[in-house]
Amino acid sequence: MRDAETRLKAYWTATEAPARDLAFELAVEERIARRRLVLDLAPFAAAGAVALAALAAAGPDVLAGARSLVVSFDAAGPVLAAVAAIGAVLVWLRRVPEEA
Amino acid sequence: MARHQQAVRSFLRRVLDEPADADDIAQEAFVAAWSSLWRYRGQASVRSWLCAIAWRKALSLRRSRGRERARIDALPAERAAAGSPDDRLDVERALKGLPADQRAAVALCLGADFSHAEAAEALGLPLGTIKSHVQRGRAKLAAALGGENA
Repeated sequence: MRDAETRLKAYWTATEAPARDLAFELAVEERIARRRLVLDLAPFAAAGAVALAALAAAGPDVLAGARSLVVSFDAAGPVLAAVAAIGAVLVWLRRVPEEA
Repeated sequence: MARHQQAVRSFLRRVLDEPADADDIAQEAFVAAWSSLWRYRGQASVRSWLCAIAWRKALSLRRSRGRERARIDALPAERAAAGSPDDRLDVERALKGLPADQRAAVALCLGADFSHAEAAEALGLPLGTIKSHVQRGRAKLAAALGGENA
């Protein structure tokens, strides 16, 4: 019995982890940092995934809307060009005459 | 972490078969503890709480490596049969002969000076079960180790 206790005590001592182990502590810190990074990025990744899903679902409608917007810009082209030309003339007429 | 890593790692080294697994599980346990720090309400000591997390992870590993473990368990038995003088292997073999809960209770109470109450918290077992595990485990170890040199 005494022999068993002695051997057990020797075993407990042999398997005791060191009181300080910087390598172990650094490894844990690294894992925690990695986990923290994942947790920080998770909301952005989720938002991106939701946006992509929404785009995929509403893609055809969005494209149709964009196409109609382009068409309406095409129709307004001459008007915009006329307004721009009138603006340019007005700016030219209001210019300060250079002193001779 | 620096204060409790010794207790957690020592515990895992004694309940798992591979020291490398023990450190890996200990790291996972500390990360899990960091993630669930908000759950700790101070009802148990910090080292019991950490050992509880580590024990759950160790059990999970043991389950996932059941077949591999059976193969590894056979190794010390073969060495002992060949008459190895290595005391450490004898003790490991004797510890492996105990049921998992009993081995963990012995490792905590005899190997790490946990009180029975602390071990009960760490292993999630009733206090009476822990007392009985420690008593029976000690007797089995004494029989296994003391008998060889008698």
